[in-house]
Amino acid sequence: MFQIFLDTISDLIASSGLAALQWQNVVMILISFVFMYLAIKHKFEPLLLLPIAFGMLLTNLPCTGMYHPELWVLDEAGHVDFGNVITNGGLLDYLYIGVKLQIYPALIFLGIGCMTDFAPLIANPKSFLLGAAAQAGIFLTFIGAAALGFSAVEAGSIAIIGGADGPTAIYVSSQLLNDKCNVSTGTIALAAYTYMALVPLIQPPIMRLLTTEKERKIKMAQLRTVSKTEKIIFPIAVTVIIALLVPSAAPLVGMLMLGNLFKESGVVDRLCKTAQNELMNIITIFLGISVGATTVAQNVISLDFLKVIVLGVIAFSVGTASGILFGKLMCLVTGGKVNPLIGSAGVSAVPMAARQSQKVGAEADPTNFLLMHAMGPNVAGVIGSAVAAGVLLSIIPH
Amino acid sequence: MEMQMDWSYVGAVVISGLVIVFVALTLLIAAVWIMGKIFTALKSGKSGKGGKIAEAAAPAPQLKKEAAPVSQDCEDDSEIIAVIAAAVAAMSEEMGQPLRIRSIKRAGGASVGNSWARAARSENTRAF
Repeated sequence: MFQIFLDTISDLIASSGLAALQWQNVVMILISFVFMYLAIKHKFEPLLLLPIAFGMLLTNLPCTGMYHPELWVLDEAGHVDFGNVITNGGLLDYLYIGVKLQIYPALIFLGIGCMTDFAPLIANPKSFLLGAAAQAGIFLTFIGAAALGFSAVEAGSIAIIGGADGPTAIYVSSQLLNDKCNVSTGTIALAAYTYMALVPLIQPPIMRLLTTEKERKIKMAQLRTVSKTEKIIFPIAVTVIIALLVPSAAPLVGMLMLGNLFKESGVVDRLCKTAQNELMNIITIFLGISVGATTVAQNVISLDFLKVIVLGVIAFSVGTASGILFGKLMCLVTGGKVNPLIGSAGVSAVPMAARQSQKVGAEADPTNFLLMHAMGPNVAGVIGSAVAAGVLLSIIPH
Repeated sequence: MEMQMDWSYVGAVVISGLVIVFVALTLLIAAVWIMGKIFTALKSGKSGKGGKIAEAAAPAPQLKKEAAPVSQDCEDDSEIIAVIAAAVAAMSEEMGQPLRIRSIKRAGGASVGNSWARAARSENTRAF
């Protein structure tokens, strides 16, 4: 009888997760604990970092059968066999379908559109230039990624971190990356959201370094009042122009502008509230946990992971610097009417980047209020990074 | 890992990417600028007409009629105008004298000079 008991226990142990646990899984589980700590204790983008970290934990616990990277291997025609995913997948495979089909990022943009006020941008359309300049971080990081030996699809996915926009980064990387890549969508998302949370640490030193005290003290003229009709026409006009020029950016920009039209039209309050609350919260859970699930130890623990982390911070810093330098140029051209600090808000981390412009400006002169001026480039950065995403998707063969 | 890129391809991606982003956003600047000009022109046209209407209007005792031309001038400030009108109406009742609102104008240079504006701004930005 004792022998049967021992056999049963040994069988149980052999079939448990403990027997299949490898050191890489342990490392990833510990990393997930670190991200959970950062999200809970330091509130680093907790809405997304917490589900991503938990997805990372679930996927690295062996034998749970919740996520199967082998199901996402492309066939000879370059397509995922979704029938196979549905037949043999686990819970996180099913949720990941929404990422792979680019449904979640677009729906998140719908909610963001409902919450965004484009009035500062409409009042000062020149802000678009700062939103465009900050996207230089994306394209210059592409060079760095190429120099480090990444393929085009990997370099494009890493570079988009410089857009400082989580849904956009997930949107691009989930389309570009495949099973042959050494970088996963989860790695890109983790890097993007971590750096977005670190905006208050990354941006101010660069802003102080690239501007003079005199420039930081520049007070900008009050913005004009924008009429309701202009606010309604704006999302429609942006959708038409961007969709005609960069069709691959249409899903992101279109949904962003639809959400904004919901808000500004004032006739669909119920839809607007649903898109920015319930729908966005549900999608955030699905997106976070399924993206976290792609950080399977064997795909993540490599030198390439460290390279992504380094390139991510470079992308962010270059984006901030190029926004400020363009702001300095605008300051020069306008005879000192533009405070260069608002240029750093051109990276789209809304509203943290605009808050940094306000904070650094107020340090130089407490009566200087740059927040609303910085919101223009900040929301322009959202449109700019979506356009840059569309450009990457259309240029890079995948 | 997939095949590495050659530098001419990298250069093409970077240059075309930057150019397309700038062109797209410059087109948006043009569109928004044109829209702004049209609406500013329309607004100034309306306010010109509105001024004439206000001058021609008889001094009626009702406050709402007096406020109407002003609301045409500031489309987005209708709530503020309603609040001012209500406050004046309340004062009018208290004093027992009919009061008229002739015009409502936005004070210039309120961005930093006005202590109320300053207080409101610091209240809204203190957390940053």
